[in-house]
Order: sequence, then C-alpha cells, then structure tokens
Amino acid sequence: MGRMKSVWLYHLNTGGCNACDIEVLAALSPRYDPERFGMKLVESPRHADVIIFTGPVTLQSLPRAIEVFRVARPIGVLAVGACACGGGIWHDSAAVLGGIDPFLELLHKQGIPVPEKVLKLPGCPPRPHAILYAAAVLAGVIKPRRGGASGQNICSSPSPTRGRQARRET
Amino acid sequence: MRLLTGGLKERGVEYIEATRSNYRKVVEEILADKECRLSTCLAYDGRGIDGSLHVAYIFTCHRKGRHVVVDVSVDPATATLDSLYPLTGSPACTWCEAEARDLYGIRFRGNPWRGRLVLPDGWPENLHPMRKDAPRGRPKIRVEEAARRPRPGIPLGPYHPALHEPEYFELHVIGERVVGVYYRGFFVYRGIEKLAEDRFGFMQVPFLAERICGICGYVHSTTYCMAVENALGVEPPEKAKYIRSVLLELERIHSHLLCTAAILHTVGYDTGFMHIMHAREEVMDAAELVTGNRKTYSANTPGGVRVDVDESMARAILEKAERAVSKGVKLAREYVELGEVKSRLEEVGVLSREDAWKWGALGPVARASGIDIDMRRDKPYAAYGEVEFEVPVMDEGDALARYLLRLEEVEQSLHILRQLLRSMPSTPLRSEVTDYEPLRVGLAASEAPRGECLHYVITGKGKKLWRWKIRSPTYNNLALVPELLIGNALADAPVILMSIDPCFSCTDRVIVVDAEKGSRRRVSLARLAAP
Amino acid sequence: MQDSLLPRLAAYREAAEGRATIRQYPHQPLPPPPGLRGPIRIDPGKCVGCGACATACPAKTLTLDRSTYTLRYSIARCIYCLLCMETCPMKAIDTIPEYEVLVEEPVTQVVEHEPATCTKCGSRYAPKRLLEEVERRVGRKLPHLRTCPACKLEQAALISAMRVLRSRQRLGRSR
Repeated sequence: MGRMKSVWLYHLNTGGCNACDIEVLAALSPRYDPERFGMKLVESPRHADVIIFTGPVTLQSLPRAIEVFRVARPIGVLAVGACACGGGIWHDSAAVLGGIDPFLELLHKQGIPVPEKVLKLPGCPPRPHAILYAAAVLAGVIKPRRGGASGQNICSSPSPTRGRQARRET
Repeated sequence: MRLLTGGLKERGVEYIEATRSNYRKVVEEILADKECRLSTCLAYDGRGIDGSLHVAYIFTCHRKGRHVVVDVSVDPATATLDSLYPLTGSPACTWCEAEARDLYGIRFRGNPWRGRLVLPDGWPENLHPMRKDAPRGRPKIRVEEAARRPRPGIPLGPYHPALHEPEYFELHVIGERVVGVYYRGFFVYRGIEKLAEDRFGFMQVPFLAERICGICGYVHSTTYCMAVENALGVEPPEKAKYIRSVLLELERIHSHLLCTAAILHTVGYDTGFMHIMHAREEVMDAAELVTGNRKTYSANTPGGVRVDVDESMARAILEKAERAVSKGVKLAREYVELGEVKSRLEEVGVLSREDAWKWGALGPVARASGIDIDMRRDKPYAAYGEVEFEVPVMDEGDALARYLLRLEEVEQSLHILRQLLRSMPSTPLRSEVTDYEPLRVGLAASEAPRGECLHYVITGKGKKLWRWKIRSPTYNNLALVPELLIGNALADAPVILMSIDPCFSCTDRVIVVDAEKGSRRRVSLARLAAP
Repeated sequence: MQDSLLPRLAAYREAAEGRATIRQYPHQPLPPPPGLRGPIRIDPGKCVGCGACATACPAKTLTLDRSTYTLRYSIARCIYCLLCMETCPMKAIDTIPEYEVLVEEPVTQVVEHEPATCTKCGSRYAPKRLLEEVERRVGRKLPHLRTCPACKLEQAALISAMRVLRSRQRLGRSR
C-alpha cells in the first residue's frame, strides 16, 4: 500500500478510561501538527480512512462499535493503548470483551469485513509522539523504525508462541 | 465477626450502625444540620460476616470537614429498603441506590429511577455481579443479536469526534426548548470494584484506581491510598505528602486547561481549542519529568509515593508550570471576551444556589453557583494544610462563571505549586504497611478537579480488599444534568454539558424527540451547538 | 466584529511566538525524555524463574507457566508500571525508555528455565536456578531442597513418626 495523501481519522472509544483519547486529542494539536500529513478527524465513520480504536470494548459499547465497523470502510485500524492492544489491566473482567483482537474475531463471525491493516500501539497511555509515529506508519509516510527512538531493540522472542489472528474475508 | 471501625472517629470519620427501623431518624438528625448533604451510598454483601446485606450512606458536611457513614443492614430474604430520595430529593441519591440495585439486587422503595443504570443492556436480569456468590466469568449476553439487527433511528454510535467517552442522550423538545431528557450512560462500566476484590492485592489497586479516569486518575489513586491509610492508621512521610500534592495540582492544571479548550471547541472556536491545548503541553512535560509518563503517573503506593523530586527537578517543574499557566490562562481569558464566544456562555445553563445544593453539585459547578466548598481547605489532606491558597467562588451560576472559575483555580494551583516546590522536605518516600488487618473500614475524600472524590475501603484477607467503593465527583454532577438541561434551548445543550466538565465528552449524536409531534431525529452535537 | 479584531490578532501573534512544532518528527527520530517508563526487558542470565514479577504484575502481562517454568512477557497490555522491576529479587528486569513500540507478536520475550526434578518421585517442582540461588544466599548446600513439597511432607511425617517411636521405646526401657 502506497503513501496515503490525506488520512481521515475516525476516533472510536470502546469504554476506556480516556487517557489514550486525550493523548489522541493532544496529538492533533499544533505541537505535533498532523495536518501536514493531511490527517484530520471526521465526524462520521463513513468518511474514515483510518479508525483510531481505544478502549477494551466494554459490553455496553459493543453494539455501537460493531455498527461503526459495519458502515465504515477503513483502509486501516490503529489500536491505541494497552486496553485496545490486549484488553488492558481489566482484560479478565466480566464486563469487558478484551481489546481489538476478540473484537475483530467477532466482526468476522458477523460477516463484517475486517480492514486489512491493523497496527497496535501499546502504552498506558502512549505519548502523542508515538501516536503520530504509528499513524504515519499506517499512512505510509514513514517506514517502521527498528530500534525506535532510543536506539535499543525491544527484545523479541527467539521462539515466540503464535496466537490466532483475525482473517479478512475475500 | 464484624467490621472493625474502632479509631475511625479519631481519624476523621464518624461511623453509625443503624437498623432499618431507626436509620431514617438518624439521617434526619444529620440532615438537620444544613451544612450536611448526602454524598453517596454503597452496598456490600455482609452475608458471610453477619448474615445481612448492607447499605452504607455517606454524608459530607463540607464546611465542617465532617464525614458520617450510616450503615443499615438489609434482610437478604426481602432485599428491600426504603429509599432516602424522599428525604434528600437528590439525583445523587437516586443514582447510588440504582447502582446498588444493579450490582447487589437491593430494591429501594420510593426511588424514581427506572431500568438499568450501570450494567450493560444485555446483562441477565437476576445476575448481581458484586454479590460474593455471583458466578465468575462473562455471562451469556445477547449483544451479538442486538448488533445483527440495527434498529432505524438508533444513532450510529454515541461517539464524538473530539473524543472522550461515549454515552447517550435523548432530548425531548417542544419547539427549541428541552422539556425532557433520557440519559443512558455507563458505557465505561468495566467491573473495577469486582476485579479489586477478586484478583488484585491491595498494593496493586493504586494502578487500577489510576485508570478509573485518564484525566483525573492520580486523584483516584491518591484517594484510594489515603482510604487504606485511614483504615490501617498509616501515616505517609512528609515528603510523600508534598509530592502527592504537587502531582495533584499538576493534574488539576492540565484538567482545567483541557476543559477550557473543550468548551471553546464546543462553541465552535477551534482556534482557541488548539492554542490552549498547545499551552497545556508544558504541564504534561512536567509530569513526564517527575513520573516517567505524561499521564497515569504510577506514582502512588499505600503508605507513600514511588517517585522522588529533587531540587533541580522542582525548579524545572515550576518553570514549565509557570509558562503553561501564564500562557493558557491569558489566552483563555482573551478568547472568552470575543463576542461570539461570550454570547454562547453568558447566562446559559444557569444553576441556582438552591438547586446546586439540593441536586448535589460538587466542585467548580457548585462554586460557580455560590457554594463555598473545597476539601483541600475544609478537611486538609496530603500537604494542603501547609500551604495558603484561596478558593474562588462566583454567584452567577452560568456557563461563563464555570469557565472563568476554572481559570482562577488554575492560577491558585500555580500559587500552591510555588509554595510546595520551594519548601520540599527531605524525608523517606514511603511508610511501610506492616499490620494489614482484615475487615478494617476506611474512608478518604479529596478535591478532584471536578469536586469531592470519595473512596471507601474495607480490607480483606490475604492482603486483598473485601470491598472498595469509588465515588468520583462527575457521578454527582452528571446526575443533575438532565434537570439542568430542561427549560433551556436545544442549541445550548452541548455547551451546558461541557461547562459541567463531565469526565467524558458527550455523544456524537443525540436523539431529539419532538414531544408534540412524537417524531425523532438524529442530530450531531456539533450541528446542535452551532445551527 | 471590528471591536474584537485587533485584540484577537494580538493574541494570535503572541500564541504563534511560542510555537514549537516538532517539524522534523517523525521523519527524524526524537530521543525519549530521561526517565521515560517504557517496556521491560528481562536478563535471562539473572532470572531464576521465581515468578515474583508475575505475581506482582497488575495487568498479568508477565506470566510464569508453573508447569514448565517458562516466563512470558507481552508488551500488548503492559502498563509500564515497573512493579516487576521493583519486585525482582535478582534485579533481572530493567526498562527501555522507548515509545515507538508496535505490537508485532503476541509474546515479546520468553525466558525458559530448566526445572529441578525431585530426588524421590521425579516430579518437577521448581526451577533449578531458583534452588541454586537460595543455596548461594544461605551459603551452603541444602539437601532437603532437592525433594518436592509432597515428598518433603512425607519425609517430615516419617521423621516425626520415628521420633515418637524412639521416645516411646526409651520410656518403655526405663520402666
């Protein structure tokens, strides 16, 4: 996928604490200036190129979240924060689905197409710089940086266990 | 077996055990003092202790710095109690009792709230998750079915493009006047109190507490630690108290500047939003310097703090805070003088002093309506007893007063920071919690950016919690919003809501119901605010 | 509105003077601020598999599989609280002040440990390195550490029974 010239973002909060959401908001402020990449927030999911997904998917927010994906046709999804990436500190609560992975599986079972590019940015909350970085990677503005900003590699497992991945229907 | 409440009086909390026959009398006596109000209530499952369910009502007499807990036992066979709503007339009472009904199955005779408050829509009827014998694991919910058949007229999603949490308003109008409000919130119900009882140790709970809210999380983690310290009689060292106060004030500044920016955005002045958010960045940098993260500081532990502040760091924090406050407040004051902004806020959403008191308003919402309350001054905690500051109060009670009041509070926060950072003591950073005794009761209150934040704990076996009740100030402030919206113009609804500074932003879409014609339409909030 | 135009322009100019947009980012990397809390890294050379970190983790993103004594860390729901770093008795965990982190694999780091086998029944009951570390700290070999808890209980019961028998025999002889 080549460079997206202008990336319209729709922000979807599925019941998180709001810290990630405020950092997303901050990432849209002048210090970070994402509009130079053509990034802006839109009101309706129908206009979205990318859905910014926060929150662990509480049961109350689930039907609405499914509706958003039903009407949207995003090119990518950016899961921001520990809750979206892995269910967060309350991943095992009875009131919570557990983040974007079980949510995408649910969409798949409903027959709703899942966007092909899903990036997961952990942090609690991640800095706006990181959100800008991840959005830029998703939009094809920059390549992902091995070694990141500190120059040190996050250790990756020599023999990692593989989880199940939500698949896209073709 | 019984709960251990000895020594609570000396530690600032009055605890009264009442029976179902005499509790109304006890409450009437407390409320005879006009300075006292019902703050919240909680239920707990004491069947393993004394065979009863219990409801504990908590009263705050702000100006006297007094907290009174009235504990009533409820026969589990009938699980019914007379509501205190007829006595108090307070939406805060309605809500906390409705929550106890959802979570414990206790019915309150005379409580006007119908339907669910807290639990998700598809949750099974007779499953009360906070009871000690509630089955574990996620119940079977027909959520997937509900999603498969979208109903026409239901909004796409209560999500606002400028983000925060989702929730759902239905505004009933005649012409352009709001005549009724249906509110469905708690999209953020995550089962936190239950999790804390199940798998968290009491030393891990501050990390859970901090994530209750991403804007005012630190005040929750501090209030929780203070509640445990209150239960166990632990006193944190001086430096820990100072550091807690420094971080609390940094959080207040960031939160108020955020609210100010959000209000400007709501009235359509996005330039103001951008500039204030930019000015706010320095405060976030200061927090990152001390705690290692811009938000969710992970800095508290029961007994003290996990971060240190030395002289050079204190200087750096002060410099950043000075810059952020002077810039942010100056711009905010200039922008609100603009005709198109001021006219949207002046005389909008007026909350009278009587209504504010009766409906349980807290924090800037109460102070802008003439109620002079502030936990930092009325019942000092952390290092607030060591510093001088003013508590601004205004009388107009409109959205403009609430806006300007927060700016004055930000300036006071800076004043407090100057005093704290210039006289930081040098003591250890934490006191060890050596005697963790089960079934000890503790209560702590703090002044969050939005008002009085209460945490109530009952310690349990195995270094865990037996019960934890969180009452954040938005709970009370939000409960009065439906009352406040009635009678106002539809276009003012978003502005009024934002001026309350709820710890979420309102719905992207609201449903507007024409009460005369019965028709429903779906409108975006932005369109409502600027037709 | 003419009356508000001039003050507004002045306000804008003032606001613009303080602007510091990080224009070069993300094309140029920005070093993380000092003290930033980030993902953790476990030193496999120091870790002994005691699992104190896994018990301390509030998000349960660091887990110890007690059947194989395998430690697994996933950055996906790590909250960067560093409780694990505080708790580790071997100081085997440190934090990388990194913020450009994307979750690529379900598990980020795996540390495997060789379990010790009980000299009596052969079951695996603890990581070998944990027992060695205990002996190192105590300063001598501890033979009773080489049996699993169940066998230890049996041994202890046997020793206790022998003592009772012997004391009864002594009493019997003196009568």
